[in-house]
Amino acid sequence: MSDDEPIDLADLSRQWKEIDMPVLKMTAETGRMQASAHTSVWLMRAILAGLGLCTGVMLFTGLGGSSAALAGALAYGAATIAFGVFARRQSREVTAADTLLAEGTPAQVLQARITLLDTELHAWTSTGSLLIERLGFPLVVLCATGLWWAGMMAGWVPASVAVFFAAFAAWGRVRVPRLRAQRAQADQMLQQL
Amino acid sequence: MPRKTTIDDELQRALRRVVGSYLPPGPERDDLAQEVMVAVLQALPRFRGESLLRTYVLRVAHNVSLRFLSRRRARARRQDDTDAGELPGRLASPEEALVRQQRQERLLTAVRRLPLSQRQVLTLALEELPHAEIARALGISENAVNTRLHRARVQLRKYLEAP
Repeated sequence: MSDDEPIDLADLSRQWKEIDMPVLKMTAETGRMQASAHTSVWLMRAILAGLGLCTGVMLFTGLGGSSAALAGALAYGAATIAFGVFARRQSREVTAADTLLAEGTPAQVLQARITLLDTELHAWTSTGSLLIERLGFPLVVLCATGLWWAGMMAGWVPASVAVFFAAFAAWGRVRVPRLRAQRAQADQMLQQL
Repeated sequence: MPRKTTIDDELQRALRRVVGSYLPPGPERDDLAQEVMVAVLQALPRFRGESLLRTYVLRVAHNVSLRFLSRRRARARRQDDTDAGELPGRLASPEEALVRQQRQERLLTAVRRLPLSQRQVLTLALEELPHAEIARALGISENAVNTRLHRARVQLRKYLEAP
């Protein structure tokens, strides 16, 4: 048999069909629960975004008391709105991707995945966290500490806003490199198809 | 009125084989198996009978597997692809069951070593889908199916014959 002789497909197919793997968590009930959880996650995110917006408005209209608090409230509101819009947009794309899984080709599925990752990366960029991520973690901690100290001088509200931004920046610091790695992986797979 | 469709046992086994062609045994494969099943259940009401149900379901399985792989972390990708298997033996004799199990694990491992494009075509061909259906499922021409399948069979023979 030469090196370029293909393996017999009929025999291979018979062997292949003998393969059976144990059924683990694959039940219809689990599927329904997961689909329901998927919806709940987006609902929760929408509620969080709404709460953030309300907090921003509340701080802006009454509880601020200083220019730092007003600026913080505005920024907080803007960030939560941005994420609310992003969550809604992503939710739509996920729904589209579900349809794509049934009707699309593998290349289209990967392209959709790349678009989704690009959307999230864009959301991080537009909320300024990418800049903080590029500055590096020590500088983020330094800025957060400075903000907190300045906030404490002005009252508890700006200090809370500073803590929020520090947490936000830390999240971006972790999230953005992962998104980039996933995008590179999807891109590489697309090239292989 | 929506078309009533169900997945029989044979098709469920085929789904698990598709999952096995992407990942070695382990928690990640369990997750993928579950994700595939969920996607298939969600996709079934949209089946319009434009292709074989088998083609439709296997396409969903491949697409979900691809999406899953694109989400994996680098750490997971380094996992050894020759992990101990967990295929159940269905023969009476333990020796025969062991031999069969080892042969099946070897086949799955060899399939996982193939490039994605060849692996997808081969696994669908092994499920005995007609070439036209494979082309439809993957969005490629029948000529491309023939070429990839030939390459996959040549490569697979090398992998299986390697010591």
